[in-house]
Formats: sequence, C-alpha cells, structure tokens
Amino acid sequence: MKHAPSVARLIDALRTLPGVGPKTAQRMAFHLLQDGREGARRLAEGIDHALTNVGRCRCCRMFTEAELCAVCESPQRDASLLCVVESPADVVAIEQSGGYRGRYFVLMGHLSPLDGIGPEQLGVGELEALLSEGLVQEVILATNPTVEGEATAHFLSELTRARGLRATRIAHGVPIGGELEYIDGGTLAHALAGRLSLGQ
Amino acid sequence: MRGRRVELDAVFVLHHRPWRDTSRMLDVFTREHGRLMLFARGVRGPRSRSASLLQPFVPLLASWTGSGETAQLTQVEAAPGGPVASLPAGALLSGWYLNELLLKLVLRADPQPAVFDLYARTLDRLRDRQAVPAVLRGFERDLLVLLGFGLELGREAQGGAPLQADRYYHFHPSLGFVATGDDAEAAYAGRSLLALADDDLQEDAVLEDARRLMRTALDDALEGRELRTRGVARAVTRSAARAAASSVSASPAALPAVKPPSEETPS
Ligand SMILES: [Zn+2]
Repeated sequence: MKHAPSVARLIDALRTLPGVGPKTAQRMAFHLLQDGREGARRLAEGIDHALTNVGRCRCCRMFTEAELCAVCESPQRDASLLCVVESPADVVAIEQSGGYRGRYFVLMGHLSPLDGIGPEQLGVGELEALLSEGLVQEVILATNPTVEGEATAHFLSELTRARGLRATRIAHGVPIGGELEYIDGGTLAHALAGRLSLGQ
Repeated sequence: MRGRRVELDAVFVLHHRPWRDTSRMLDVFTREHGRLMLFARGVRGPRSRSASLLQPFVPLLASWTGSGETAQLTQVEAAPGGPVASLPAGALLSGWYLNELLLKLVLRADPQPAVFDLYARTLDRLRDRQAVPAVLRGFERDLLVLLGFGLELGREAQGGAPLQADRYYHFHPSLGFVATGDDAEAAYAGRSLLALADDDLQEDAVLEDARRLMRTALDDALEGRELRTRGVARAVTRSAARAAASSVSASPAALPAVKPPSEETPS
C-alpha cells in the first residue's frame, strides 16, 4: 500500500531516529496521527523549540541554551580539572555519579581516521585554546575503552603533557560486583595492565 | 545463500560501524576467504562478551554463515597464543593506515593468505615497537608485490639489467625503473632501491627515497583515491607541533624538547 505523501514524509523523518527501521517508523507515525495527536503537537513544538534555542557551550561544547552551560558558569566547579569525554551522554553519566567537581570538554566523537574524523572534527583547536588560558592543571581523559577512544586519549595526553600539564586516564577493568571468570580476556588484560599497589 | 558455513577462520577486523542499537557491521579480512562484510548481532552494550574482542588489530578466530552482504558472525574468540590487547596507543594511526591500504587495494572475496600473513607480521612489528617508518615501507613494498601491482625492485624496466648501487634511476609506475643521470630531478639512488629490496631500511637517505618511491607507486595503485588516514595523521602532527611550540614559549624550563611525533605518521 502506498502512503499519502505527508504520511510517507513523516515516516521517512522518523527513520532518522537511532534504532528506528521502516516498520517501527510506520507504527510511530500511525500512533501520532491516530491517538497521539496532542502528544504529537507537543513533540513537534518541542523539537522546533530545541532546534531554535539549543546550541553548544562556548567553553566545553555541551548542549546549552545560554552562551555557557551550567557547569562552566558555576563558580563552585573546579576550573583546574578538565574531564574530556566523547559525548553529552557521558557528561550526564559522570554528573549522575556525583563525585566529580571539575569541568568538561565534549569531543562529540572520537578519532576515526578511516572515516576521516580527525582533530578538527573533534574541536581540538577549541580544546587547545582552553588549555592555553592557563586555568586547567589536569586533563582527565574519559574517552571510551575502545581502540578509537584509546587513540583519542593518547593523542590528547600528548597535547596536554607538551603544555606542561598533567594528563590522567580513567581506570578500566573489572566491574564492581563482577566475577573474574565471567570477564572477557581483553578486559582482564586491561585490568591487569592497570593494576594498583595496595596498602599505601 | 543459506547453508554456507565457515568455522574458525583467522580474521582481523579492519573497520566497523554501529548498526541499529546493539549490532555492528564489520569489514573483516579473513585468511582463507579474503575481505568480507560480517553482520555481528548484539555485540554492543555492557552484556556483550565479544564487544572487547571485536576490536581492530587483534588476531581472532571467527565463524560465520552465509556470504555476500548477508554473512552473519556466529562465533568469535581470540586467536590462541596471540595478543588479546590491541596495538600500543602510539601505533594506532599506523595500524589504521595499514587497514585503509587493505580496504582500498584488496578486493572483496578474493582470498590473499600471503597478504593476510604480511599484515599479521606487520602488526607484530608495530606491537614490538620497531621503528615505524621502516615497518610501513616494508609493508607497502610487500603489499604491492603480492597484489601484483608490478613493482619489480632490483631490475631495470627495459632489458632487465640488475640495478647498480652507484647509478640513478627514474621510476615510472606502469613501466618500472629507467636509468638516468645522477643530476636528474627526482631520481632515485640505486643503493636506496637495492636497500629497499633487501629490507635494509636504516639510513635516513634510504628511508626518504623509499617513502617517495612507495608514495608514487601507491598513488598509482590507488588511482587517485585519497587516503583519509594520511589526512588525519597530518592533522595530528600539526596539533602536536603547535603544542610543542606553545610549551617552549610558555614555560621554557618546564619540559625537555618534545619529540616530534613523526613515528606515528604513516607517510
Ligand atoms: Zn560548558
């Protein structure tokens, strides 16, 4: 069956969402047009409003409606600590853990040379400018423990150390509550390589 | 294509991209079946045991069913006796450069066990932290020879006379080496070409000639296609140079001179 042009357009638009294939998109479209018309209107307005008002923080590239995000603007945050992450979701995850009082820098990705994604695409120029301001003392590299994340962390740690600043990497390894026998070899090797001394 | 089943072939993941929320499309290089796309279902996320295995540069044994665009990964394990970790972080850019050469020069579904073994050996050399430029030049040379791009080191194109150490040669990609005068522009020293053929890549002058020659031969083999890894490596080098310069101007005594990151740069 052929959809009306507006319906087809809506289905097509919904497919830009992650994990949404043609079947799911059709189900969503029919729901929005059938029982969910009120919600659909709020959704449309919400998207439109966010697109108009949400930009990137001038300092850390996190989503914000102001020039600076809440973290960068807060005088309570320690400006000498800078945590570099791959995505806005990582900022949210670290904030929810509650233990971090420094600031962030969001790369919006990682080095992916085969896809042509290098320093420029990750805003490394902006990061360099931030480091040159002289407030940051330690850069915490919290990119993912993937090959791409490791390459990104390595590259940024060299930039950081060349400026005479401290570069640290978040620890990876055995999850809390995990049992060794169920952990894969790669993770165990990483955990062993990053072992710590006890009793100091 | 149902029914086709491959058990535990040696493979490397060359490239991967996420597929839906939990899966990946893998561009793999297998020893016995050449390059192919494998669909790896449910390998992303915290509960996947194979997520940490399915990384580039790690020797793996994989099983799959089907062929063409529909081949599905059914099992993967680390190759026995092989390293479970990837390359050292400083060698990753070089590793991706090797991968891009394979992705662009090895055809799909064309078994190349000798190229596979060359690639595995080259990764081992990078893992052993051998001098990167020599490792890369050796890989480029052997790859072009094994894939039949007509690189015949050691002989003149016309007549097949052996190259001589004290003479100079021009290189024409489709033809080969042609003797020329020692003052000819862009000529290669015979001794550099013989050293490259013998894998004796230590002197700077030899390495530079080898780099220039391989660049010309690869550009011809790539038929005008750009290498993205080269562009990214150049940008990384520029950032590192800026950082080194800023440390000199900001705090002259803070650090010893920063080593230029040339060893990370493919070419
Ligand atoms: Zn901010």
